Amino acid sequence: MNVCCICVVGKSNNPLYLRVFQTLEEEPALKFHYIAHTALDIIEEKVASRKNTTNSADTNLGLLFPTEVYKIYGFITSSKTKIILIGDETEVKDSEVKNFFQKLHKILVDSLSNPFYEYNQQIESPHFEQQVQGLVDNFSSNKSLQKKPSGFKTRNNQSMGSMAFLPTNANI
Amino acid sequence: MSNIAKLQKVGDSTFGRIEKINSELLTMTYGSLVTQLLRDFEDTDAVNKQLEKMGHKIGVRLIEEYMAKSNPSAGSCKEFKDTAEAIAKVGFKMFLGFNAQVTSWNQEQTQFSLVFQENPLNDFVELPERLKTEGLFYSNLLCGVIRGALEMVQMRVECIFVKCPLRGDDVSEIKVTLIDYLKEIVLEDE
Amino acid sequence: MSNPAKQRTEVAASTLELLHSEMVEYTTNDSKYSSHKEKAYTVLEDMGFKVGIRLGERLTRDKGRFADNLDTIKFICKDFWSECFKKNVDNLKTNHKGTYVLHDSKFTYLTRLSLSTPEETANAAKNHVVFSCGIIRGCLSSLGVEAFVTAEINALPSVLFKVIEISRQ
Repeated sequence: MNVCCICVVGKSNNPLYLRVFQTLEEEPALKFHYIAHTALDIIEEKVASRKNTTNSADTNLGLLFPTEVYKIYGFITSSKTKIILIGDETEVKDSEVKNFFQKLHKILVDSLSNPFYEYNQQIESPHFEQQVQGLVDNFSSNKSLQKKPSGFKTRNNQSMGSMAFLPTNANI
Repeated sequence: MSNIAKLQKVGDSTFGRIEKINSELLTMTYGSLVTQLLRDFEDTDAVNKQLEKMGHKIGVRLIEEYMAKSNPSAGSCKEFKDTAEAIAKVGFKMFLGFNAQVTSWNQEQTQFSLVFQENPLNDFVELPERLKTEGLFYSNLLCGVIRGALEMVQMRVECIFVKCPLRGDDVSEIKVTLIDYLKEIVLEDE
Repeated sequence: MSNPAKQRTEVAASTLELLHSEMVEYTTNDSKYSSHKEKAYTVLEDMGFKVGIRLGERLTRDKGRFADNLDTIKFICKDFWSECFKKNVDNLKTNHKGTYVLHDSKFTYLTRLSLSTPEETANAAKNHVVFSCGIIRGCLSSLGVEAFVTAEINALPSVLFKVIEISRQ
């Protein structure tokens, strides 16, 4: 799988971070916002359905849903921070996605530990950016032998700016 | 065994013996203090000064524990030269869990630098550009601690941060300068 | 940032105790808030809160999610308490309606307090639990439990921490 977009959403569904690595469609900004929005709903459902089951402590929520061109994975931490991973359709093992989320979670927690970070606000740390880029590069290079899908476009280092229209009232 | 190696051993064994905690707790607590002081004081230099002042009070109290726990005959603080190594190899190790190096002695042997790579106070910290420009020395508390502790062994020193990795330097460096020896103060028995 | 990927490291417990004491001294006796005790406590508690929200994230990183609020409180009484206060909570009581009482019979920040008069000691004891109330409230908040946390000191060094949930989920 190639990482197309990573989105981190705070405990009251407030956006903390969104970054696009690759896009496979036109109008990526709108598309990824729409996907992230849908992903949050599905995360909420998954968490509710797992309540009182043996999986209730799991942070990795696995594949949330596919679209025609993307696969969307989810992760939720003990502090109810959500991480959404949007990838292309190339084959990937569940364990690799889980491993990716765990590493990203660690990077995230270290970044939140910075005393100059205002808690639950957007993450604007250059160090975080750099660490995430390293993680994504590493993840993608493991898969570099795989054929890229046709119509493939690459846009690196593109930030999506504000994500103000994500719902803020959902209670996950 | 050289004096430095001996002190290093004292530092290691003392640190092994004493009660310890997860360094992250200290890291987070210190971070909370620094950001509060930045809100309380208008200019960054006043924050440097306040951190130094608080460090000084800590140093004055910490020497007691140093003497009690480290077997001070090995880490004797009679000569300034020995004192420097005792701070670097016993003091730093015992309280913060790492060693510092003593470098850059001047000819008169009244000034040296403490150089170190690790510093739990700095962990996870990303200093905003504004504070770099305004000259915040994030770990300036340490300067005060050294000054306060040495005051209790009758040495008046000046301590200043000259290098800090949070500002882009490769290491931390604190310059310590001996001003004079204080006269022994006789404390009343309690 | 220095060395973020390193293994767990340790420092002397006394280093934190000395720093904590100085933070108490600063807010209650040497800052622009000192003349208003309530304000000084708010500032001290807030410093603790900021430590707590970060610790909550850090200490639960590999633990997975908690089933419910009681589960979260149990984590506070064990793992969290032993990291922050060097022992477990001795006793936990709850009315199952969102109020919890955590009893620590030998609270770490009070074990070495001794001043010349009982009044001074009692006052110092009060000052020395405020920051910790903030840490507990912060950690709970990061784990999704918004609560009031207060402390009651009856006989040094024993403390009752009272946690009252603001909103039940």
